[in-house]
Amino acid sequence: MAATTYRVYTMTKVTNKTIIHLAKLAKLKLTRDEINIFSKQLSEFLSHTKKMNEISIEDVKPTSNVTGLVNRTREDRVKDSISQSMAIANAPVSTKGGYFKVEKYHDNQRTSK
Amino acid sequence: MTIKELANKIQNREVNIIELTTTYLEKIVRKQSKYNSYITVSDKYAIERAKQLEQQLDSMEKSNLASLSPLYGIPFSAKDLYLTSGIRTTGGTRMLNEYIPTYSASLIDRLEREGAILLGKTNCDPFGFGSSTENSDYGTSGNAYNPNYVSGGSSGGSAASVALDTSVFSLGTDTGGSIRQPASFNNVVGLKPTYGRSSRYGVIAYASSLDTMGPITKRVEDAAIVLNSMAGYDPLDATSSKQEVVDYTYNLGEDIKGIKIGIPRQYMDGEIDSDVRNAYEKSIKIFENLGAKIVEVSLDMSDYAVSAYYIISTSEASSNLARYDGIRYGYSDRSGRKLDDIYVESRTKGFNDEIKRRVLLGTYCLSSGYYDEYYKKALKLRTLVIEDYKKALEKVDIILAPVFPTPPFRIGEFESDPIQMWLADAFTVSLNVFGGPGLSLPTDFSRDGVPIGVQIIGDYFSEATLLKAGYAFEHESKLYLKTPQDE
Repeated sequence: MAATTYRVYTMTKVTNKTIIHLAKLAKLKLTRDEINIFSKQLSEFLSHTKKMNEISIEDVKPTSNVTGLVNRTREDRVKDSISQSMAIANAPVSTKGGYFKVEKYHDNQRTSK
Repeated sequence: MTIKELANKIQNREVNIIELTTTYLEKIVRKQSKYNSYITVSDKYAIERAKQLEQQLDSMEKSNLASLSPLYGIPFSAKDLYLTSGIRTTGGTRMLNEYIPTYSASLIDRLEREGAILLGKTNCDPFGFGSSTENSDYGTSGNAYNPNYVSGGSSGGSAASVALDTSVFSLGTDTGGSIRQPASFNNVVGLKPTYGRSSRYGVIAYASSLDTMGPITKRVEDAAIVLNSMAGYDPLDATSSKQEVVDYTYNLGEDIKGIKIGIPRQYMDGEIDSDVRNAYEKSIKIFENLGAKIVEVSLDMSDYAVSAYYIISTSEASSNLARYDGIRYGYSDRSGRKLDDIYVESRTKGFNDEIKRRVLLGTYCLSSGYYDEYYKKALKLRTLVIEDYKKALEKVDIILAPVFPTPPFRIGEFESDPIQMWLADAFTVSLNVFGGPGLSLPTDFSRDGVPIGVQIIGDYFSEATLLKAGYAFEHESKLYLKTPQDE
């Protein structure tokens, strides 16, 4: 079980351009240094996963979860839940009338309050 | 003292619950700055609860006392991923530094209904992302036997709190080894039940198809007692199992002569530290002394488990962490001009490097063009890992394996190479991909005087067998007699 060595396969290169794209998808802002470092680290890990190509996996069915459970539904019946005030108790900015407050999403401009 | 012994003293009124709780709170204060096991100590809450429980005992008929749960009046800690109503829950991340849940995890509710007393929330890697608790935004946690060494992770604070006796038991979570590894690093017992055995409701999600909740205790019997309370169907958890719950203490003390124990060829032949190898060989001898039959088995998929695990877990994590957007809870930066800025600024400032690293990787594996090559392939690997374990478990009752390739390491050792740290999870993650139960047991100590454990693994819902074997093992090794130096 190699912890500190592993056979090096063809390097998978996750480019800086890809990292920038991923950051956009994940709603993160990265510095130049971070982009370089994450590119290197993701490349390192994904090169390790190239091992997966050693085995024939074409006809194998994927397993999404080990329990074998599918479409677990419950009765469509209203049950107790937490109150509205409890649900908004951790809102980062003060709420109004029991709603979460967000910036107005309108023409990319912040409207005056 | 075991939970059963302590429970007897509580029920006989030899031990006062308020005094017991106060003693534990004082111990926490004494050891906190040296070991940093706790993020939040709920002292006022614990004392209030202790008063209520003691009062309740006063009003009970002596004959009814025996019907009380063995957890009545027992102080415990919970990893800071468990939501605790009214008590700050940070998840180990600055993103949730000020989050105070308005409801508790199902498991917390259950334990409290039985009379257990929550002392506080223990330190962990953020969202469970880590194997050393060094990724926590609340400082790292020191190993109970030497605070210059890591406590393991991600349930590092939990394991150390039990070893240091600043809690009688602790609730941890295990997605990739996060109960078993820190338990084995601190000379305590860690049980990862079968996936679905205990409820995930109200526990901050890392990877929904892998997250498993379990106890960390000083003794195997204690783990069985806590599992009795943790196991069982919860309608609030969609993957919760309806498998019958047995009394996990029932078979403890039974002979294990003739039990077949499998040693995976790949682990025996692999590259592991010599102290870990010695511990592994010692554990084999202990089981031989107990009359077990040692059989070689093969886990052909062991080389691929780390790949499958990190692809599946980071993919699911990237999805689960999308909820942290600065809107309903958590860190929020509203300085931007657009709604999108709230998301980006809040997440960028709220998430540390390890979190960003895993979210980016998960995003990559799920993104268009890479989904089939990584995520779908990893799900297929999961099928093969399951078949691999099932095949091995046809030949044997239990598989015996190391927990980590090295003994506990010094704080900071993996700092510059987080991916190397990921690859070192090889012994633990494959069990999570399979989904079966695993029990880590104190086994030995390294040259540097820090603990090394081993783990026993079984088929789905074979916790009773694992606990029976672990109980026998513990009584041979007697490592529970060893405790950290400073008391």
